[in-house]
Amino acid sequence: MLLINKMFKNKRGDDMLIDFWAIAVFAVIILLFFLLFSLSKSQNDSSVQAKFINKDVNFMLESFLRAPALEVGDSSKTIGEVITEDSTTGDFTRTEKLFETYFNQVNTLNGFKVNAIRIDITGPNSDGDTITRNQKTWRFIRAKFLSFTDGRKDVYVSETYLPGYESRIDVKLSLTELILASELKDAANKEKAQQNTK
Amino acid sequence: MIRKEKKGQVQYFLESAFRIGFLMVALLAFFLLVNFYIVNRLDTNRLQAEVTANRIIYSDAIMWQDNSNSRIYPGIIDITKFNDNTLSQRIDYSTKSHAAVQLTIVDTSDGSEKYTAYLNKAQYEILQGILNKQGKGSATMYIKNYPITYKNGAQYSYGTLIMNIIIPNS
Repeated sequence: MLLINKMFKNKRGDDMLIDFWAIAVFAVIILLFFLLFSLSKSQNDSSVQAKFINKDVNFMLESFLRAPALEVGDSSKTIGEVITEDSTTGDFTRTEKLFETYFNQVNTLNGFKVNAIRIDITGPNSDGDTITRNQKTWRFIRAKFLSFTDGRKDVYVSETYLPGYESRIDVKLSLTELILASELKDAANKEKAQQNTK
Repeated sequence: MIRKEKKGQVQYFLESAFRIGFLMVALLAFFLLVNFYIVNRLDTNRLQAEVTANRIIYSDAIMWQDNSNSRIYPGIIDITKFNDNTLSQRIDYSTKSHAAVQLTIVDTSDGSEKYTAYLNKAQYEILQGILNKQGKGSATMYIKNYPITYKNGAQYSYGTLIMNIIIPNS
C-alpha cells in the first residue's frame, strides 16, 4: 500500500510515463507515415505504367477496327464495317477469322508474354424479334494459356463503340499479360541497376 | 543551475535520456519526411520511349495519309514512307543524342521480316553496343509491338510493327 502511494505521489515517475507514451505514439505515427508514403509511391509507379500499356491496347483496337478486311476478300471494307454487318445476322465467323489473323503475331506486350487476347462484341441479339430484342455478347479469345506456378497476371482493356444498324455496338479488347516471378525479379534488378546508374 | 553532486548528475542524465531519445526520433522523422518530399532523381527514360513511340505511330511519319483530305490513318503504314530519310525528316529533333529507334515490319502470315527502318540510325548503332551496362553513358532498350496493316501501292497486308527503342541513361 505504501509502495502504491509512493508511486502515485512520484511526480518524476509520471513524467517518465508521459515520455514513454509520447515516444510510443510518435513511433506509431512515423510508422504510419512510412506505410502511407511507400504505398502511394508504388501505386503511382504502377498506375503510370498501366496508363502507357492501356494506350497501346487502345491503339491496337483502333487499328484493328480501321484495318481493311483482307481475310474475307474485301479490302474496300474495314473490319469495323464487317463487325457491324455481322451483328445484323449474329454470325461472326468473318469477324472471328479477321481477329485470329490480325492478332496472330502479338506475343509480347511491354516486354512480357501475352497470355490471351480477347475481344467482346456486344450488340442487339439477332435471334429475338425487333421489339423485344436483348443485348448479346459474342466473345473470341486467342489464348496461349502458358503454364506458370508463380507470377502475376495483368489485364489491360480498351473499349469503343461502333454505329450499328439498330443500336450501337460495344467492342472491347482485353490483353492478359503474364509475368513470371523470375521475370519480375529480373525487371526489378534491372530497374535497380538503372537507378544506381543515375 | 549546475548540479555538483554525482548522484544528482546521474539522476539528471537518466531523466533526460527519454527526452534525448525523443529529440533524436523527431529529428530523424523530420529529415526522412523532407527526403520524401524532395525529388532529386527523375527517371524519364520510359517516358521518353513512350513519347517517341507515340510520335511515330500517331504522326504522318510512316502512317498512310489520304492526300485528298490530309487525313492520317494510324495503324496503316505506307511502305513508300517507311525509310530512314522520311523518318529523320518528319521527326527532326535538334539534338541527336536522344532516343534511337529500329522499326521492323514482320508479316503476319509467315512471320518473316519484311522491312526495316531507323530513326537516328548512327546513334542506334552506338547505343546498341552499350546496352544493359552500368554507369553513365550506358543505355536501356524498350521493345514495343503493334499489330498493323501495311500498304504497298494498292496492296494491303497484315503485319506487326516491332519498335526497339534505345534511350541513353545519362
